[in-house]
Amino acid sequence: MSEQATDAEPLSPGDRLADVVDFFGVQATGDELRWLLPISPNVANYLGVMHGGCALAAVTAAAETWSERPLAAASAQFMARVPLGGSAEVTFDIGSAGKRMTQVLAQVTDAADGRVLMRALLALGGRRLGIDQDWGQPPDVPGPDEWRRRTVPDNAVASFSTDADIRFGPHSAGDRRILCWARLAGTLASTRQGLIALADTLATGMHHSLGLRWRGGSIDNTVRIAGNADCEWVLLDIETDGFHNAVGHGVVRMYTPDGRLLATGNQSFAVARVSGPQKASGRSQH
Amino acid sequence: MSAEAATSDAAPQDPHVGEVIEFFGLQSTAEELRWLLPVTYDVAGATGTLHGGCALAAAVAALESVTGRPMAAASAQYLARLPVGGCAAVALDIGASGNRMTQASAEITDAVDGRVILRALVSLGGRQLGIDQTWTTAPDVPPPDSCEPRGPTSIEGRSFTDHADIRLAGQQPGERHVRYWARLNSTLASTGPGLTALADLLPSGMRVSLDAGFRGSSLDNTVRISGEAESAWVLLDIESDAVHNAIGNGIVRIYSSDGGLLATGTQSFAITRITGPLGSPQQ
Repeated sequence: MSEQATDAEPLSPGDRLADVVDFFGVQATGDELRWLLPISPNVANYLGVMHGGCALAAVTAAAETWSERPLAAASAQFMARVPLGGSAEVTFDIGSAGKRMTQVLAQVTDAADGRVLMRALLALGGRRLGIDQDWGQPPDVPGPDEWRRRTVPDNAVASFSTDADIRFGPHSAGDRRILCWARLAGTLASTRQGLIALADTLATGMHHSLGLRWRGGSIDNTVRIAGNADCEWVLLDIETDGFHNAVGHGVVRMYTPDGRLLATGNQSFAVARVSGPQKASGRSQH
Repeated sequence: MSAEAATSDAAPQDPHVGEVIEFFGLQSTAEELRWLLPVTYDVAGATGTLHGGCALAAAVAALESVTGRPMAAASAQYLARLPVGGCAAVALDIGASGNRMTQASAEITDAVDGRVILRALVSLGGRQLGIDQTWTTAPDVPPPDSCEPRGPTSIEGRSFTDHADIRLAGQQPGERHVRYWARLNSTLASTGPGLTALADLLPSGMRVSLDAGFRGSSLDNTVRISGEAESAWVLLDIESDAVHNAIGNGIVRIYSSDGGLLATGTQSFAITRITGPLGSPQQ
């Protein structure tokens, strides 16, 4: 098939989207630009509140469903929390919809009181021009069986954060680069939404780089899709860039086990209080 | 709103915010949350339309002025173009304002017909906890005076990127890293909005990495502030990550002339057509 003919075919989100929608539990309503997101354990963190990465993943799954286009990039701003058992409302505002790309603003509010929880800018679509490539340089690491699963606090609530199988490699406090393998149910980790949810692990990497225990919260999250794959494990290569005004910034690149780049993410994290040095350990907690 | 930023360990406002507003030609109105941005060649890109990075920088400057807090991070989505001679309306929304951080959004529309040109999510503030540090080091490149100027980027030679002093600090077609020195008026390049505007050079670097000229447009831009400096020159280290479904993704780290990290930026760029070898017309 010629490149031109290939480009004539629209890109589609693929056949794993229904499973993704089901996992994150985002629900259609009679209005295709309005969805509901019950805060179930699959979209909560170990504190028992909405997990920002999962919420962004759910929003992008809904947008892929009605736009029938795969996500290219998403940026979210986190504003407030809603606990397990609550419900969020997701509304979309289409900024532009062209032949190849759709650009959208999504707003996630607390369905009970209307508080804005999150805003997100999404770009969906793309085309086949025969120019795709990646410049990624995956690190040479042992397989996931060689690293231990991270531990979580004793009082952690059963949630996405406790269910995700995340295995950190050896590291020391102060290291810039933190590596981990991650796996979700089936091959969910390698879907666009799985990658978005896992990109939020970046903040954990920044914890290790700073070598301190702190309290704070993610301000935002940006994820860009760089490849397709159907694999069980993904490798997260986290690099902390710096802390300025007690706001940390870092980058994560996510690879397949055979070294293909799947996505990049970057995030800022506001530190509210430092409570002391991090415990020296090869195992990690989020 | 400014009073909230006056707590003892609050991150200080950028002292250059007034100069920045003047540079981008941003105009306040009687409404604190509504500003105007006339589209001049000083804030235009190569196509003679509002430069995305400048538009985001202007929105950031307006928010810094209104909140009294420095930008921490900003993400913009580019939706439509506005030609030179037009005027943009900048509407700000303070979504959440706490003791240290403000989460805001901005919408830039055509002041004439209301078309949405850009949407942005902006975080401002921070605090001084004595934990600030950076892990990155600037690449070793020749000083700006030893580097060749970049050629004109627009047909008319009048645009933000033509007026900016940009020098080629290291680039080889097909290679992942592309480096530029950049300078604006005085030390404006090293301010938050200056860094935001210059981060939009990322697609220029991706052309070199792809070793091809192409037409297309930036979809978005995310910039995070990692340091402060009074630096006339800044060094952009652009790193292309991938082109997937004809959308290019990359990261830029921006350093002061003495090697301190000032900002990181990431961007996606939709390619509509390959125009030929590197050096063929841009945009």
